[in-house]
Amino acid sequence: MATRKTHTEFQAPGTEDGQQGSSSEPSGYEVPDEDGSMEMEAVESETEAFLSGVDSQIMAVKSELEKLLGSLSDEADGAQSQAAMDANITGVGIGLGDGESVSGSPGDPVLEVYTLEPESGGELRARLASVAGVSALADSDFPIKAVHTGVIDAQPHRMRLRPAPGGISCGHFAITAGTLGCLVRGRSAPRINRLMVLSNNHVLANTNGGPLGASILQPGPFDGGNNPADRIAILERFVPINFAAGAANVVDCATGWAWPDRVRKELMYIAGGVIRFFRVGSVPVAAFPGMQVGKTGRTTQLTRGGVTAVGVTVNVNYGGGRIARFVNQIAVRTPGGNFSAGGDSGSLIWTWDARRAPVALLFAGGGGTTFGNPIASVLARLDVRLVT
Amino acid sequence: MATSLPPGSTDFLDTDPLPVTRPAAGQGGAAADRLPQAVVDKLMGMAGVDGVWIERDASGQRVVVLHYSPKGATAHLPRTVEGLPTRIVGGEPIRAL
Repeated sequence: MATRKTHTEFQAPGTEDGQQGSSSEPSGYEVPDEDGSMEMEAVESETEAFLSGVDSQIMAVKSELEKLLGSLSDEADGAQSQAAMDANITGVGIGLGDGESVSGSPGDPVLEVYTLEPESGGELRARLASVAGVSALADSDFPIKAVHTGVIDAQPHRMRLRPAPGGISCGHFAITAGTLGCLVRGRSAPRINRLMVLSNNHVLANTNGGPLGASILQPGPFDGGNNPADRIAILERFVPINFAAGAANVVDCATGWAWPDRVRKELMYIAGGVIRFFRVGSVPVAAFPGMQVGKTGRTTQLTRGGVTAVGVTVNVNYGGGRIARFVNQIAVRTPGGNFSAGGDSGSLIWTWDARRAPVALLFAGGGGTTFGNPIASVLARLDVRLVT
Repeated sequence: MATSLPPGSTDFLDTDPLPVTRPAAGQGGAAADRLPQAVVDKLMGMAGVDGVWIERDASGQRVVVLHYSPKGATAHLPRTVEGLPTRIVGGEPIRAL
């Protein structure tokens, strides 16, 4: 087995002259989230100021229900317990009343209680008064609002995670969200010392938008990623997509130069509600019809499918009237389901076997078929090799 | 949206990846699974057709797949291409995900 190298061999973004990263980037490894931490503190301060103006009785009931939620989560162990079903609550917070469905004036703070099953505020108040034993809830004027959420599923592929693995939400600061595929490094100096995230051009480079040095966030902006607090990399290179009539594209790919301590080479998936990590192989293989493949991505998470075709020609819609033709692509389908959905772009597709050999970079789909760029073409065009 | 694991065991994810050996002959995207470029260009020039490729049907026979975005009638699309039967899929545009 090859020697596993630590991230200390890699150079952090903005550590050499001529790099087109943020001009405020310090040399050497960046102090983690210095600017972002200040923004976070400001936001937290505003929240505290709001909560300090909420009626103390509302806050007291909120605290009691939080204790109840804590005991329910201890009991549930992954499944909904009978106690949780009886309580019919999944969460609690402070919202603002509308002056109609909840007592008080419009804009007055109210206790928002999130429920498993639909229920009126009055019913919820009466039941919680007995289940939780909170006397204040016996008052029919207590400002409580029931918000039906159903079971609240964790969305781990969309959350902020450090170091960030493959398969998780990421994206250029001006897009919605895509998927971090895996890690790569350059084939030659100076890029050989750069640890980079691999994904699509339309995920990391805002579809030819760039510019080089632009912030790449994890999670992507649609999933709550903020710039610069959630920056894990800066746009390093992308292969432009040619939208001209008659042009034939082969890849939709880009690299982001990552801070080595903010990323990890493993890919993630969820099993039993727990985040698990796995590695893929470092040697790509060519797809062939019938090959069983998998991917883990921001939206549909871990999925399995079969390569149905190679040598595929497709016209891909990028929005705004932009359509690009791609040739020599691979097609993947999952019988009875979808191999991918919006937000999975950038996922690495690998063989569904013990090799987990990289096959393609997922980038498009429609009509139940997912399309990927052959990974060998991606690596060649970006002049990178896999870091697995 | 998938919220559960795919069917079958995922135990193979728990171990180090096994090394890759060269693929068996005929597994590398054979020329028989590709249409001549001129044929592809002609098919892609048909209104609504935004994808063309060759697949194998359940019996292993090659079929030409036409990805046709509109939901409407497809009677105007060819039944055969280069002597191979066609199959129409799609019903929505192919989009960057």
